[in-house]
Amino acid sequence: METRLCADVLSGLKRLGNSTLVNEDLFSKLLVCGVNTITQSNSQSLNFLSLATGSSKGDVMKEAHFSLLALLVEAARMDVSSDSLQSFLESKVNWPANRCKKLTTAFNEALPHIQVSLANVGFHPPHVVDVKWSLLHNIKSSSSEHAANTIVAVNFKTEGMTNSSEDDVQFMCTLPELQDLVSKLKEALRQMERVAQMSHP
Amino acid sequence: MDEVDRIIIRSLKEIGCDIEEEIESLKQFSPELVVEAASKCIEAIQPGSRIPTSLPPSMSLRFRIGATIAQTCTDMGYTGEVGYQTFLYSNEADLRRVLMFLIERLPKDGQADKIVQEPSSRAARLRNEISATITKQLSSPWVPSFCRTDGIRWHDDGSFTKEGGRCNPYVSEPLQTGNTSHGCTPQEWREYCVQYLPLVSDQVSAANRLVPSLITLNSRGILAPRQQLAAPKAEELRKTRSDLLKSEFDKLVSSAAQQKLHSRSKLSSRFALNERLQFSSEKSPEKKKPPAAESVVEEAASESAEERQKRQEEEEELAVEKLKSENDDLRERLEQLQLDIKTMSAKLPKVLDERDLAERALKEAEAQQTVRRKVLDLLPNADTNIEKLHAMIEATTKKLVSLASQWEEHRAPLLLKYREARKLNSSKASESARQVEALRITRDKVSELTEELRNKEELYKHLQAEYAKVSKDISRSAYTRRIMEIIGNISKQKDEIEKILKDTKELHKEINTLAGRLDRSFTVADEVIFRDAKRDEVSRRAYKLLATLHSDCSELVKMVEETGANVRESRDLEDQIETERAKSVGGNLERISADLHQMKQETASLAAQLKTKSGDV
Repeated sequence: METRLCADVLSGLKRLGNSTLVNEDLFSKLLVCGVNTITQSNSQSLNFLSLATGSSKGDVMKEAHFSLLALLVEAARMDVSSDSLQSFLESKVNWPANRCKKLTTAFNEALPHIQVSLANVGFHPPHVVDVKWSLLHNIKSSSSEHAANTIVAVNFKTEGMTNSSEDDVQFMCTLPELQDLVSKLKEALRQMERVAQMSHP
Repeated sequence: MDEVDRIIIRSLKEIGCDIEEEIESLKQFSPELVVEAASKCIEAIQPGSRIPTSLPPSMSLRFRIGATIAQTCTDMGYTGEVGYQTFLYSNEADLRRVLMFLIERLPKDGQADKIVQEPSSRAARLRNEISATITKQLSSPWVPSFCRTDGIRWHDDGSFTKEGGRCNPYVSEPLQTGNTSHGCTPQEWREYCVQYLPLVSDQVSAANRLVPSLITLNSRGILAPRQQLAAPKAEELRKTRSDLLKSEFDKLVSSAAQQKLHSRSKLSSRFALNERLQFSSEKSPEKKKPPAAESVVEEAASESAEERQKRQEEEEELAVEKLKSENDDLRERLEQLQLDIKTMSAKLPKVLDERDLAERALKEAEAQQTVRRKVLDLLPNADTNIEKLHAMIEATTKKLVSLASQWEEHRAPLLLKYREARKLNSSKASESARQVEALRITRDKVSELTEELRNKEELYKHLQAEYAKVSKDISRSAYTRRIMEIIGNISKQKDEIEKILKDTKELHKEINTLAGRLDRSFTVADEVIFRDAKRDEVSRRAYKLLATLHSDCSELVKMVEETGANVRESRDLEDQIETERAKSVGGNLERISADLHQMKQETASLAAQLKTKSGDV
C-alpha cells in the first residue's frame, strides 16, 4: 500500500491525520465530501467549498483533500481489505485510531461505488445488450414466379462504443447461416461454462 | 475394547456430536445419543440425508427413525444384522460394530482440508474469482439495458458487473496540489494556495476526468519523485524574452536591408512591413529636408520612371548610411557612458569612506572647541572657580563612596541570592536531565516490551496453529503405538497357544503309546496267566482279578474322560450365559414392554379421539 502512494500524498495524509491541523468535525466533512466526489454524487461538496475557502488553513485542507481522494482511488484500485488499510493508516501515517476506523468504514461502504467509477474509465469492446430480429419472406422475384426463400434480419443493439451508442450491428442472413451463428454462440457459451467450472470440479 | 470405544467417541466428537466428558465407553450411551451419533455419521457420509438427530417423544416416530437409520446402514453396505432395535434397544457389541462401520465410511478430514487449502497461490485465487464471476453472470437473467445506469448491474451480494454502457476514455489533466511552488516566494505561494487555488476536484474540466488525473499524478509522483519540470523562474523568463526580441530585431534589420536591395514594391514579408513602419517616421523629415530636390523631381517629371526610382534608391541608401553612422555614434556614446558609470560606481565607496572620515574629524574638532571655550569663560576669576571645582569634586567623591557602600549593601544579598538560585537551578537541571534519561529508558523499554509482546503473540499464534495441527498426529501415533503393542501381544499369545498345543499333542502321543503298551502288556499277561489258569487254582483267581482290574481301570479312564467333557461343556455354558447377560435382555425387555405399554396408551388415546370425533360428526 505504501509503495503505491507518492510522497506528496503521504505527506498530505499525515497532515489530514494531524488533529491540530484538521479538527474532528472538519475531518468528517472532508471524508464525506471526498467519497461523494469520487463516486460522483455531488450532493454535499458545495457545503464543503465555502468551508475550505473561508479558513486560514485553506492550503492544508486542499492538500488533505487531494491526498484523501488519491488514497481512496488507489485503495479501490488495489482492492485492499479494510484490515490492511487500517494497519497502513495506523503504522505508516500515524493516524489516531478513531479516524482510521471512520475512514475504513466509509471506504468499505463506498468501495463498490468507487470501483464502478474506476470501471467507467477506459474503453472496452462494444457489449451486446439487446437483439431484434424479423423474418423476410421472398415470395417471387423478377426472374421467377415462385421463389420461396427466407431471410432473417438481425439487429444487435450494442453499448459501449466510444463515439456513439447508436452503432448497432445489423445484418441479413439465410436460415442455415443463422443456425450456424447460433451453434457458434452455443459453443462460446459452453466454453464459458467450462471456464466457470474449472475451479469447482 | 476400551481403546476401540475411545477411538469411536473421539471420531464422533470430531463430527460434532455432543458427548459428555464422563462417557467413556459405548455401554454408557443412551438411545438418544446413539441415534444422534448414527444420524450425524450418515449426514457426514451422505450430505443431505436429513435424518433427525434427536428422538421425538412419540413412540411410533421413534421406531420410524430407528428403521430409517437401519435401512440407510444396509443401503451403505453393512452386512451384519441391523434393525431399529440396534439403535433404540442397543446392545454394546452390535452397536460397536455398526458405529465402527459408519466411522470407517466417514470422509477423511485431510482430503477436505486439501480442497479448501488448494487455492492459496495468487494465480489460483484469480482463476477462482474469474470462474465465480462468470458463474454469477451466467446464472443472472437478461435485463434490458435501460434498467442499468451506465451499464452497471448490481448483484445481491453487493458486487457488480459492467455490461455495456457509457465509458469515458482515460484522459488526465495536470492537477495543482499546492505542494510545489513555481519560482515565487513561499509567502506569495502560500497566499495563492490559501486564497485562490481551487480544489483538485474543481480543477478538472469534466467530473469524469478526476479519477484518471489522480491516478496519473500519483503514478508520476511514484515513478519520478523529483524529476518534475521546474517552471522557469521570472528572471529567466525575462532574459529569454529579451534574447528573443533581440534576435527578432537583428533579423528584421538584415531582412530590411535585403528587401531594399530588391524592389520596393515587393513588400510581402512581415519583417519588411515592420521595417517600413519603423522607418517611415524617420524618413518623412528627411524627405522634407531638401526642397530643392523635390523641385528637381517636379521639374524632371518628364524623366523616365527608372531614373526616378534609381535616384530614390540612392537617396534611401544615403539616408540608411547616415542613420547607421548615427546609430554607431550613439552606440559608442552609450558604451562610453556605461564605462563612465562603471568607473564612477567603483569610485563611489571610496569617496563615501573619505566623507565619513572627514565628518568624524569635524566632530572631534567641534568637541575640542567647546571645551576650550568653557575654559576660556572660566579664566577671569580662576580662584573661586577652582574652589568651586574642588568642592564639586569632593562632593562627587563622597557621593561615589556612599554609592559604593550602598552598592555593597545591595550587592551582598543579591549575590547570595544569585548563588542560591544558581545552585537550585543546577540541581533542577541535573534532576530534569536524570528524569529525561529515565523517561528515555522507560520509553525504550516500553517499545522493547511491545516488540517482545508482538513477537510472543506471533509465537503464541504460531504455536497454537502448530498445536492444532500436531494434536491429531499425537493421538494417531499413540493409537498406532497401541495397535503395535496389541499386535505384539497377540503374536506372543499365539506363540503360547502353539506351545500349549504342542504340549497337548505330545501328551496325546504319550497317552496313546502308554495305552498301546498297556494293551500289549495286558494281552501278554492275559495269555500267560490264562495258560497257567488251566492247571493252577491260584492262577485262575489271579486271572479273574486281572480281568476285573482291567475292566475297572477302563471304566475309571472312561469316567475321567467324561468329567473332562462335562467341565468343557459347563465352561461353554458359562460363556453363553455371559454373552446373554451382556445383551442385557432383561433390561431391554423391560424397556420394550414399557414402550409397548406407552404405544398401547397412545393407540388408546388416538382411538378415543377418533371415537369422540366420530361422535361429534
